[in-house]
Amino acid sequence: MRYFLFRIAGGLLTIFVSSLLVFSMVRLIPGDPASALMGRAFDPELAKIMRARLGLDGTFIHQYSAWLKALLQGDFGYSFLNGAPVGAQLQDRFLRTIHLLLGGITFGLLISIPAGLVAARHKGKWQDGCIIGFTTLMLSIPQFVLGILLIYIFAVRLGWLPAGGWVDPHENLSLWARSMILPWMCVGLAMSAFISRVLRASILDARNMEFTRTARSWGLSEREIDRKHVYRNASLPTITVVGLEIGYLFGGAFVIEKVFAYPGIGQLTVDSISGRDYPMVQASVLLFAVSFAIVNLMVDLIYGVIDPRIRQK
Amino acid sequence: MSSSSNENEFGKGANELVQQYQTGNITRRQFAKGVFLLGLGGGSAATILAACGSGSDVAEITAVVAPPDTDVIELMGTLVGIMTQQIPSSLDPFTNAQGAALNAAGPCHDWLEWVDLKGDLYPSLAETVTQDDPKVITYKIRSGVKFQNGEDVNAKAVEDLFAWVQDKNNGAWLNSRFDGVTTTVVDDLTIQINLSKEDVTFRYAVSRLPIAAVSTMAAQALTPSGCGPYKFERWVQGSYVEYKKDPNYRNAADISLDGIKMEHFADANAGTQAFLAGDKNWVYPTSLSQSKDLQSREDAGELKYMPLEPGVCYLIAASDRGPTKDPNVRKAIRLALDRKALNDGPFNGQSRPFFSFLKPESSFYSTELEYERNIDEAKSLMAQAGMAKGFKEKIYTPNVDYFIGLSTVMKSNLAEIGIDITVEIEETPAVIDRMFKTKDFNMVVLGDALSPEPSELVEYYLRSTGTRNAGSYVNTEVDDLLDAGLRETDNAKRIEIYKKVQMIGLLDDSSFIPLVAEVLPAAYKGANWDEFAGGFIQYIIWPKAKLTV
Repeated sequence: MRYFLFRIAGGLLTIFVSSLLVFSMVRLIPGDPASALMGRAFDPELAKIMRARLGLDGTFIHQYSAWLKALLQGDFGYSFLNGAPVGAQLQDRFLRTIHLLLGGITFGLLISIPAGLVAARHKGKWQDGCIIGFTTLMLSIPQFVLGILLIYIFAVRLGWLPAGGWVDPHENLSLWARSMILPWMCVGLAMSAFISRVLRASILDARNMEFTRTARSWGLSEREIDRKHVYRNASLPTITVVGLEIGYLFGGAFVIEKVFAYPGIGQLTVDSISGRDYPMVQASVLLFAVSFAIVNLMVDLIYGVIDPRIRQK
Repeated sequence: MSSSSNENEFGKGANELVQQYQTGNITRRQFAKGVFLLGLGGGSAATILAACGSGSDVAEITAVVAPPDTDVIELMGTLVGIMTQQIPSSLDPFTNAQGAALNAAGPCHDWLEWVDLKGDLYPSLAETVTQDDPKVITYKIRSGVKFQNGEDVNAKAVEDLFAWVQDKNNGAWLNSRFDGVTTTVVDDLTIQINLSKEDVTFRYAVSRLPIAAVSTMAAQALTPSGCGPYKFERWVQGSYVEYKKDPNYRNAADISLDGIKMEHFADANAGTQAFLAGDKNWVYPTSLSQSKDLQSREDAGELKYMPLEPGVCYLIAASDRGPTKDPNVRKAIRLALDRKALNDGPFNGQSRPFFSFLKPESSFYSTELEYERNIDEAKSLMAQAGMAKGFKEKIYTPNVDYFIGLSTVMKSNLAEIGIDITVEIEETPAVIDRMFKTKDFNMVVLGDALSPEPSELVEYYLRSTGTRNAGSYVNTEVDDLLDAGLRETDNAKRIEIYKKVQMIGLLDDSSFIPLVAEVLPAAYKGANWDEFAGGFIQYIIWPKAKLTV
């Protein structure tokens, strides 16, 4: 119990520090909401009135405390750019990003786990070579290039799948699923390369550990050793990497969302930064921090389940 | 092509397609592709497929797609397009000056007058416009027009809208242009605009203001509403905005589309690929890097490609500070720039050199503003300014591909006259802040929307009190000429005045250096865009849209 409480407290501290950091940093970026809204049609007098109206003429402490107070009451504020409540906009975008990531991660795990297992089982053989080659290729292609390539092949050349855009699943579920295949592939392929490599290396490491040699000396079959000892031990670093990858994907979702014109939270955050929409930036970055903290917490909890020694420590 | 032959050709193609589909020679997908190549949207394809499914005969089907009374075949269904680069954060064209917001909200709006592709004012909601006195404009509004919320479009509504724009608390980006304007409601449909000073150009400012009911202003950002041909249906922020035809529009019979859907792609390359891959009718702007491919597809008859020129890219060298304070240095800079390279690199050859605030096609344009690159003269001017050895300077540049490209080429050009440039890339709001708020720069590159009205950009940039005069340029002779230009109603005299203003401001003083056209190409298929796309303002003029194949 203490282990869990300690982890939760750490997560809360991370979130608080993130909130302070993002609140200060977004105000340190040159250019303010008035400049972003008016753009080339900038009018200094109008900009001054606009800043006052948006509450940007108060002191930093005053602005931060007001924001934090509202936040603790569940009020994320209103977008500077369109006046809509930030919370509602974030909710829609966040759910879409979750759809994107869950599908992509599932796709990635469906590829990476078998690939890692096959590569480890057939170490040094052609199967291993093929998987290593594929993963090297996937690791070396930037995600936005991979996205454009997938669009070119599956949408432009073959015409099998939509090139991008978002379909409301409540309106047309099958079209939504078709429109999600390429973004899921893009997320999954990129993460599967790394995870399958880590899994392969972890399995090979575990097979050389003392407990494996001991199990062999007891006369257990290789299959039984793998099932009972090797996979369990190899899963720890793999779970760590999966957790990190998920955290990274939350931050990096923007690239995929941009290429596939997918209206997720990554795209919203970047657009909000460009538009200097402070309340939106603050809330979305905070949401990233919370998501990352939750994923980390879950990884820690899974550690405890897989390896009881961690709980005891 | 004559009306009848057009119908025949089209009907034949449609019939063959339907027959092939019904006999199973082609798949549903091939059928849809065929329909699309005939220039129809998804709605029509669906209509034809539905007709096929219900066993309707071919004559009925061709009747759907080939109205007999037109000399062109009108596109039915929903027009689906892709808008790239900027994702609109708001659909309010009154407070948000971003092109993305203006375009995304356009279909539901109408204007008193609009500017057509030639730059001429064209009455829309206004039946007549008169300006016999440079200080008085009278708009007579069409009768029986209603806003989409049911309120009447009349003189009082226009007066209320003007008052709303003039209230600084509302943050309308056109606010400064409406300073000092008063209105008088003459009768229910006639409004008189009284200007504080002579200004024959004010109608162009009004042409940028969509006419909407003041009672809807608070909700414009999320649910735009005006008196245009299409009614707002849905906006999935970051993804698409959708409109349906408004059956109560004043010219509903002229609007052939059932609806419009604009999908937003932040990445121009991906947007262009999606256009090439799917049944989308247009993409704007296309990726500049794919322009050659699109041109070759146009040559092959697959699509139409239009390198639209909504703006001008410019360099401002500060007139009151730093090494560019000396006019000889500014002149040397403009003479050292290689406009061919500025076009070939950043714009992939799709742009053209600009020497003015105006397009070369404008009657106010003068070829005397043009000049050749001259490094020797530039070096000589640098020597006259006492800077023969050159100097180090930064060009502040927005983080937009073509602006970065322009600054990179200029860095190389200016190195030839000893100016060692560092290209400082910043986000656009930061550059805007630097230019207009802190004035913390000596050289900056940016662009602005072109206007057919010669006074518009010169007023902003060359008048000593101009709101966009970031380089702090002051020349009383130019100010006097600008005053005269606003008073003058004789076109020939106006041409002379604005030519002189530009000769002084752009050549003698070189306070503002036009570089190349800011090109945003459009590609489209299945519809004829020429009549309504682009133009001088960034709106697509939906009320005028006659989509044809």
